[in-house]
Amino acid sequence: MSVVNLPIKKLALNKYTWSTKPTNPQIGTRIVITDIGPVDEIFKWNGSRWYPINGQVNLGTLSINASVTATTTNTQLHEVVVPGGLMSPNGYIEIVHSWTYTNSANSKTLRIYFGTFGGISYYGRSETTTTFAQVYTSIKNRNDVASQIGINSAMYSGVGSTSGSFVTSTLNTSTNQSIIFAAQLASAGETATLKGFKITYRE
Amino acid sequence: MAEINLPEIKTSSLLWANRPEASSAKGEVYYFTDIGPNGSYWISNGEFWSPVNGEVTLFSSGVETSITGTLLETTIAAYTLPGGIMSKIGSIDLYVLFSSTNSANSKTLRVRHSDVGSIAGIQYYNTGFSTISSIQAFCSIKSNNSTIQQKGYGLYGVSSGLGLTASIIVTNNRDMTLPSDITLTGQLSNTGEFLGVAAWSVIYRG
Repeated sequence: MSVVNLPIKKLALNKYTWSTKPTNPQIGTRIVITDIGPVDEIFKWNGSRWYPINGQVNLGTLSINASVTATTTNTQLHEVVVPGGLMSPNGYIEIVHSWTYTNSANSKTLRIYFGTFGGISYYGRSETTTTFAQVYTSIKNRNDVASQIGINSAMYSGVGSTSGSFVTSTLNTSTNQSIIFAAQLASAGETATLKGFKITYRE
Repeated sequence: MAEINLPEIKTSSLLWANRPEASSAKGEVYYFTDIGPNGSYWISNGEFWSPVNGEVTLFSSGVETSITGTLLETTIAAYTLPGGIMSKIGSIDLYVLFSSTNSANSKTLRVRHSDVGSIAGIQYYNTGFSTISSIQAFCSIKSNNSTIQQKGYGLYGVSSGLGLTASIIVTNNRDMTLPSDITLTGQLSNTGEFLGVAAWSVIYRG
């Protein structure tokens, strides 16, 4: 008896970039978006918007070692764009980020801006006599694609309690908004380094 | 040799309640329309259903809710966990942004796992505090290698839900084949103050 080799079944989905995705497909249509996340990500159309299947998508995971040194100017170290229209009214972004810096009495200010460099800071702390920070930062839409909230930006781990105020913003996430990592030294002879991050969008 | 054109793989859409037994659907992917805000994809390993790629966001809300005017423990927000989701290796993970009046009066926030409509269930998070205005907390309820046994982080005092504690691990025997409520509650010592949830989410991993 001869053997018939059948081809392997493949999940055949059309591929697009976020900017070229269809605007009014049949409800339930699935596509692959090639420019979100480290590899292709699957999105589904619910009749009004594209959403990531199972409610989450990896926007970026990077071991980067981006440093600032020899300047006391606030310096952008890395930028990740949150594509316009990705975030739902109740969607949110989680950022787990790690840093190293010179252990000294001089301040090293570490920041994450949402929107633009120098804009709303959802994380901003001045560290001195430690060497490493790992932090959880979250930016949540407040039942509105143009209103966000997060825990006080000066918390050292990003979790726990604080007497500080929430961070809020009114950025329109139906257009591109950036997550920007930055650092600023008080002494130009020292160094602050963004070691890496993981950014996840959930809804 | 002639080519054989196979159809594109399609997944069946069902309500969770109408899902086939995992034992009869090994390797099959289904789309359950009522699990998660936009439905979600699950695969059977022949023993239980697991979300594709291992996790699903069950619920996410940025709608602010709060309590005031009572000294009784009161529900601030709740999510009903469908029965049968949690496998023997599953984990329910909560990320919560709490808000509070910043005053010297004591307040208590809890996360309970209860019967549907009840707040009498076991506590997996309990933090008493004063003079703070917000908390970002993590809470996890994990299956204890069984669908009727669970465990979680030590109960008292750690507002983040992470880190060190002298408390013992919380354990519970709840039949997770039945629906249950994840309930965020607050308790005030001054009725003129408030406790709130600014945003929260429920993620299932397993």
